[in-house]
Amino acid sequence: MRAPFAWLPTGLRYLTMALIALALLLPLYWMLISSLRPSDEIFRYATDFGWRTFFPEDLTLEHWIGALDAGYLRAIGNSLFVAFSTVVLGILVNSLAGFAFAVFDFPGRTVLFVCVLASFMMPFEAMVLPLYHLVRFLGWTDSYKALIMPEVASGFIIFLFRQFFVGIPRELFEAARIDGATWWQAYWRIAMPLTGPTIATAALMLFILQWEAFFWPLVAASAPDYVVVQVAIARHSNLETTDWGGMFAASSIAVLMALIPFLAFQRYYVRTIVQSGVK
Amino acid sequence: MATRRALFSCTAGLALLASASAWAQDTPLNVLWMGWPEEQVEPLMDAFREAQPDITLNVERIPFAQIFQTIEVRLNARGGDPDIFIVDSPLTASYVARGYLLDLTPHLDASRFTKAALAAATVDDKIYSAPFGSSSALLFYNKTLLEEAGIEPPSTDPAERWTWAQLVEAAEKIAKPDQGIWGFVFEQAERPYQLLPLPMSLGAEMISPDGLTATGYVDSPKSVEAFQFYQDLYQTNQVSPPGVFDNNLTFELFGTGKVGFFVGNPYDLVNLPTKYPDLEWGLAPHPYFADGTPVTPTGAWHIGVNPNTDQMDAALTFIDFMMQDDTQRLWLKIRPYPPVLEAVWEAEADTTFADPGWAIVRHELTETARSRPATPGWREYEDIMRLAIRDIQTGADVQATLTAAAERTDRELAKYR
Repeated sequence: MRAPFAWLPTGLRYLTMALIALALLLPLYWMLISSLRPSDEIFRYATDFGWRTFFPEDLTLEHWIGALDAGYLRAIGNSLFVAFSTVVLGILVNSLAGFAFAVFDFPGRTVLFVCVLASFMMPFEAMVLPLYHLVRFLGWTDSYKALIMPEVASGFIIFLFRQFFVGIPRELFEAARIDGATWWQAYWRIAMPLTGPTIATAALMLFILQWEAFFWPLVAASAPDYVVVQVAIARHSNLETTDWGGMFAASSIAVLMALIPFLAFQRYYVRTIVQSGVK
Repeated sequence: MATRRALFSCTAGLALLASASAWAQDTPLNVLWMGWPEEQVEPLMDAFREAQPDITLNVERIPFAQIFQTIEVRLNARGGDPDIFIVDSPLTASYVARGYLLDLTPHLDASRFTKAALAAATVDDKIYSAPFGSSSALLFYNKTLLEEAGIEPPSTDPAERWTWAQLVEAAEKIAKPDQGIWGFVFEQAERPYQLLPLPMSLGAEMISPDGLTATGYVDSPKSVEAFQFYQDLYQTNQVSPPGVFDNNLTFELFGTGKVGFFVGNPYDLVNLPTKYPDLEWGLAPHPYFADGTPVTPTGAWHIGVNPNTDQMDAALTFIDFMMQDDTQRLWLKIRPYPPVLEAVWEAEADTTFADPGWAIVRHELTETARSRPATPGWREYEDIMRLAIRDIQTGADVQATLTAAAERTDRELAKYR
């Protein structure tokens, strides 16, 4: 594959890419730097675009100190717990479903699989009402269950796993079966260890899904004990006034925290690609 | 014998009392509240907790941008949760149509409330939401920018209020779009709340008397004339910053001295000095069209009781507490919404309301305030109008946009017939 902008001389190519990267990163940089500015300076230079828009005169940590109160730390803890629980349960449930779709022949498989595909094309807004009715019926409102369980099964991730498992030769599983392995062992000992990249992708998707969760937590579990990160960030703004400094600081913290699993999984992702491979 | 019986009834009474208080102590009351900052919610709730130690309050603060969807999902489930919820007053009729609100008429003394607040709470002669705060509009101006442009500031006297033409003339002297300096901005530049007073000032009705037809009202000649004026602010006169819709951003623009005139809310009387203590600003009454009458927006937060609540007594106790004079005075100290109780206006006349800004607010609330159109489809109406207003601001044909918006609104309103 040719590199993008291969027709440009190398120096110019890097310059172009650097400019594009800069354009994409500037809003994030502005958010970060605004979180370090005194309140009355944040918008002072926002409309007349100039160097002062991006280089503050004074730096302050007041917004960061203010943002890191007990409530926000609790929200970060809640979001981390919800996100990691969803990742662990989600990988297990979705990979098992994907394995079943890929390996077993059973009546109604195609219809069921089409239902799975349809489920991830449905907008969340379309099912929030019935979902809330269900969660209420189960008595789960204002609990971690309400935040975690609806997000565990994901049509798209089942699809990802199924596509990957379909690519593994059936002979591998059949050989294992002949050697006396149960189907669980075939799944756990043979299929899953080959699936590193898919697991990494699925884990990241589930993590981000929960880290970004906003409307559902508000509806299903808005008691103070279950506040999640995005809800805590939104609390900095209301109809009458917005604490922009606090909001930018809290958002910066949330963005930086979300980077951690990315960096961690990235290494794992590369290694598994190198190690996996079926002969 | 008598002693023994007395002893017995006394013991029984004590036991009953003990069990009653044990039962009462875990009366939980779920309150879905606006996402005001904690320090503007907790003092009020703490006052209730102190007065009613037997009721355990669970207060959820929902951000403004999501509160209406959240209420819709939660109340639609027809369960008892939440027991109490905050109601944006123009949505009262809509919630009544959906069966989300308990009729509070027997529990409230209507004579205590201001006329405008009561009107916003009433549907079919019954009071469905307990008035808790009101709102109005004021013309704020930046003294420094006016001085630099050599403009004589408008008077605080409502009898001498500026016309919109006078405002545009002054705003044009101030605006320097290339330097990011603007003449005028509406705080809520896309919300019908602050913009419907424009057509209303020209005498336009913005919905049919039964609240179910928009065509012929939203796109009437007077409405088109008013929204043409609005478009010209951005396109022809170029005194207002196009594309700035967020009410929190318009506030920052005025606060950082980038805007000469600003139509804001009474809460800005407190927010401005808190956030921008160095800004030199003045106040005047809301402008009007010379060939019309002055009209200002009003309406704000009320409190509703879920008719399916399992804690009816506790819920009504909560409403009763929030409607007390002392509670509403405390609320005024925390958040300066214009009060809905006549008694609070009187009690604070020489202190809070001695400020000339509040004299204007009082005048507007009694003389010029007009509620938003009374329709069970206010949410749909507002959503469609917001999009139309955005299009108009960015240069869309005013008549065509309003006609299309009216037709869409009619389709949405059909379900309430």
